[in-house]
This record gives sequence, C-alpha cells and structure tokens, in this order.
Amino acid sequence: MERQEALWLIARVGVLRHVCDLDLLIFFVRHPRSLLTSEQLAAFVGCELPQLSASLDVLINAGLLTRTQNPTHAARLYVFRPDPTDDEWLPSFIRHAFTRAGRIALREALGRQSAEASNRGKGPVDLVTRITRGRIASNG
Amino acid sequence: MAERDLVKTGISGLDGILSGGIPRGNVILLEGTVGTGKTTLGVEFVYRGASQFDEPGIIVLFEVSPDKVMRDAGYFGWDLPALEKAGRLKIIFTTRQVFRQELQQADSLLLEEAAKMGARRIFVDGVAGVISGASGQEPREMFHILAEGLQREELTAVLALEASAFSVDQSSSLPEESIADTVIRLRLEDIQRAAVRSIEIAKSRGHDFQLGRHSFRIIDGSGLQVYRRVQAPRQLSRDRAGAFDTSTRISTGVPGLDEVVNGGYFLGSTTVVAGISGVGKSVMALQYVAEGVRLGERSLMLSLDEQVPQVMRNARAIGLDLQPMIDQGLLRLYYDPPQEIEIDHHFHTIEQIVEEFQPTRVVLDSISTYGSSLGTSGRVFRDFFHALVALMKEHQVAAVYNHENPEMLGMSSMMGEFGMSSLVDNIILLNWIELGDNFRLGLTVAKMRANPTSRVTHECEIVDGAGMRVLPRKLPFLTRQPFSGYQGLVSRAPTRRRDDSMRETTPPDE
Repeated sequence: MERQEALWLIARVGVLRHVCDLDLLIFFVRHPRSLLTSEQLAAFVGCELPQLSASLDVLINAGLLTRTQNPTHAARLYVFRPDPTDDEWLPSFIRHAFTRAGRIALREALGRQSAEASNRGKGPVDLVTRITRGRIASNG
Repeated sequence: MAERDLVKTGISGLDGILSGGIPRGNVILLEGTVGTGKTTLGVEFVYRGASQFDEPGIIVLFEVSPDKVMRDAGYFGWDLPALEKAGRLKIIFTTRQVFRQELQQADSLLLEEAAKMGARRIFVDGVAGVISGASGQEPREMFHILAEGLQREELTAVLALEASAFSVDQSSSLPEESIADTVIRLRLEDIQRAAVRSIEIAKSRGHDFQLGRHSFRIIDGSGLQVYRRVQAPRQLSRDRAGAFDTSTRISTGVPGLDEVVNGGYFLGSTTVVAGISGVGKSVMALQYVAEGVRLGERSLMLSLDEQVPQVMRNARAIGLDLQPMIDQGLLRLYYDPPQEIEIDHHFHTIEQIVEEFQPTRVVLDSISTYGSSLGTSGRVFRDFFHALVALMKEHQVAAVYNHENPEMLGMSSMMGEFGMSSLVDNIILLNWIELGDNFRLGLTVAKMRANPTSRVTHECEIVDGAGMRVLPRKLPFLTRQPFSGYQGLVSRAPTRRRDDSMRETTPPDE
C-alpha cells in the first residue's frame, strides 16, 4: 500500500485520531453486529478501557456505529452502519485493513496525520481537502 | 388430526429424511466433532429459511468472525450480505458469557433483535461453553434455561455442540439430549483409509423420521447434499411395483437369444448375466441397449468397470456406433469409478438418473464390482442390491445386471458368494466349455421366473464387427460337433454322447 494512499484513506474516513479508533473500526468492519461488554471489546481490540470508551464515542459521533443503551445489561449491541456515501472509501479501507502491511501503513498514516495536524493546528477535514486536491493535481 | 407445522430445512435431501421438516419451535441439538460440517449446516438452515421460506433468521457466533462466515457462504452461492441488507438476516458476534446472560434476561437484547426482524430461525454456533461455563449451574440445567429462552420467542433453533467428548459409538448420551427436541449427529466415518460424512437423526419430537446414518457431502456452489441411507424405505409406490409386467417382452438384441428366453425379458424384470471376465457379458449388454434404441426405447448403461470412451470403443468393435444414439437422447452412458464408492451417494445418483431419464432398459456392468468395494458378506451390498432391484421395478425397467463369476470353466454356483439369486427373475450363465483344444462359448438359461425354461446349453459366438449370436442347435455345416452331441457341458467334463440320435447336426450333404 502506498503511503500516499494510506494518508488519503485516513483523511477520507476523517474521524480517526488514535490507533484504538482505527483498530476498533477494523473490528466492527469484521464484526458488524456485536453484542459485547466494554471489557470484552477492549480485550478483543487490545486497548485500555478509557481509550476504548473515547474511541467508541468517536465512531458513534461520526455516525459509523450505533450502540444500544440499556442499563440493566452489561453488554451493548454495537451495529456498524456505514453511510451509503462511505462506499467511496470503505471497500478500499477493508482491502487494506485486512492485511498486515495495509494495517501498518494505515497506522503510520494515522500517526503522520495527527503529527501534522497538531503542528499546523489544523483538523482532519483540512487534510482531506489538501490531500484530495494534491491527488487531483498530481493526476492532472 | 391436526396438520403438523413443519419447518423445512431446505437442505437438499434432509427434509426427506425428516419426513418433511422439523416441528416449528423445536430446539435442535446439532452434535459433531471438529470438521463434521456443523457450521455449514446451521448457516444453510438459516440461509434457506430467509431466502426460500420467508423466515428471517439470526446467526450467533462466538469464535468465527462474521466476515469469514459470509466469505465461506459465498463459496456456496449464499449471498448473506444481501439478506442482511434486506433485513432478513442478522449475524451477531458475541461471547458465550454474554449470550448466557442474555437468554436469562426477560429484556434480552438478542431476543429483542430477533423479535424486531420477525426472526423464525436461529443458529447458535458452539453452545458447549454456554452450557458448561456457567458457575454454579449444571450443564443440563443451563441447557434447559437456554432452550426456554429460545422457545419464548418461538424460534426454531439449531444449536451446534462440539461433541469432542461424545464417543463415536454413542454408547452414552449427553444430558442435553434429553432436553433438546431434536438431536442430529454429524460424523466423519472412517472406511478403511477413506472418510465419509454421515448424518443421523437420533431423536426428533413430534414427527416421524428415518433412522440410521445417512451420507452427506458438502458441495461447493450449493451446500449440503444429504443422501438417504440406501436401506431406508422409499415411497410406498415402490412396494406396489413389486410385480413385473407379465405381458410386454423386451427383446435382448442378441440374435437367437429371444427364442431361448421365450421372446425376451419381461418389462420390469431383473436379469443377471453371469460369467467369467471376457466371456461376452458386456457385448451382450451393448447389444441390449442398442436394440432398445433401435426400437425407440430409452436405454441406460451404468458402468463401473469401464469409462464411457472405452465403452464406446468396445461398441464400435462389434459394429455399434453409440454416439448417434446418445445424440438422439435415447441412450445414456454413466460411469462411476468404483474406488471408495459412497453407496448412498451412488444410489442417489442412479435414482436421479432413472427418475429423470425414465429408461425402459438398464444395464449395470457389473454388480461384482460393488462386491469388491462393499464386500459381499455384510448387509451393505445385499441391501443396496435389494434397493436397486426395487427401484428398477418401481419404474418398470427391464434391468440386466452383469455378474463376474470367477469360475473359468463350467459353473458350480450361479452367483457365487453374492447369494442374490432368489431376488432376481432371470439368470443366464455364460461359460467357456473346453472341447478338444478349443474354448467354446455356452449359454444356459438357469432361471426364468414365470416362464417355461428349457435348460439346454446353447453355443454362442462373438463375431468381430457383428457382436454375439446364439447358434442354432442344428449347425448348418459340419465344421465341428454341435453342443447337442455332448453331455456334461457345464460340469467341466463334457463327454460325447453315445446316442447319435441326440445329435441335431445337419449333415454337410443336406
């Protein structure tokens, strides 16, 4: 996977900021309807509970995931619901995220994006615009 | 009597064994060791329900990820993502601990999902840990709770249980089996160095089903295919078709033979042609099917000994071009390699061909090959042959079975160790008879049910480009002593008759 493509994908998803966000997204792509406790989910993804909670909020706020709320249940039903417009990036994301090399490239891209964003004080949306424009420019 | 509400599994061949399906709401325990096909069966059960019977379903997975199940289902042509999009299927990934808690709660999220989509079926892949992992509860008690939870929602549930613990001989049953309504066991059975998949309905409340171990295969592009045990009873019509047609005769296609067998074999009769290898059984068979085609009758040749191109080449050697007969749709040749034959599958294939092609004549070359594969001492071969004879009679087929008798000269028993002679209607013996320095071919009708039979041994010959013919008792010219001039032809020690009046030879000057 090319570094540029990984950067574009991360930017296109738009909401990922932490490695746990990425791992959680990959998990839900593979398990689109999961009935699990937070502890079990944290164990599957391999991150700490506070970070898992933050990452879940990221995906839920982005509209990629729904979560049932029922205080009497320890487990929650998570349903991965990509928007139809996500067809632009989702197939490519799946193709790369399901390989080791692809996942490493995506993690690196995520790290670069976070670093660049914090250096320039710009958010991921600006990056999307910049990278997409750069891609169009290079293609043209 | 109230009509049963049966859930059709939709799995090819399985509903037949289940006498139409499984009573709705039954909890089905699906047992089997690793690799026996539990997941495939369970997923197909839900897939067929959602896609063919308007019964949405849920698949619950604990270890296998849903994307893998979808990928594997794709190889069978089952489009699970499309069913999910249509809201007819939900694949839920969870843990056993959560699943156990869910089923114990009145407001279970899982069952709420089932209710929301109107699910009628559920498959839970791997309930062993669900049952045994609960602290403070006996597995039997836990299974009872699980079954109750599913029954509350009127779901017909298939629960796969990894049965590494259960012994193959099934001398002891699992405690869960007494609670489950239906128990299905999947096995990989070792047959010498091969392995065959088998399925057994050990129990099913509320309806009849066919006992015993039936074979099944997992076939790419379609899924499970269950083959009913060859011994299991078929349709009732088969019993009624036990008697053969006593008026229609089927010509043998061998010049001179029809006269010997009173004009031909009866329609629906069973004929065995017995003789050592090379004596001309296959030649007779080819002439029999070719004669059928000539008369406009559909004819089928089932070969275990020779592949189709070889059969066609042999036919050309006796002046028969089978290709135009095949092209006409009047002849079908089917070859099944005899190595490691799966008898249920093999019989199923024959049954399908006969039902679809509706032949008047069938030749099977040869039943001895089954003996080599299945053994002749046990019941498998005998039951298979019984089923085959019944199938042909049901379809009013005049069937000819070639049988290789190991005796080179003469014959001391009609069917050797096969012991099937009482089941067949006609037996024709083909023998080499050593006279002087020649092997000459003799044909004797040893048995012909419902026919007057003259057990005279007739001489036959096979002529290149023309096939077999039975020679007349009176030979037109005296090149050799006719069979009528001998006695003890089949007893391996023929001697010339002293009484010249018994000779039926026509002198050369006549």
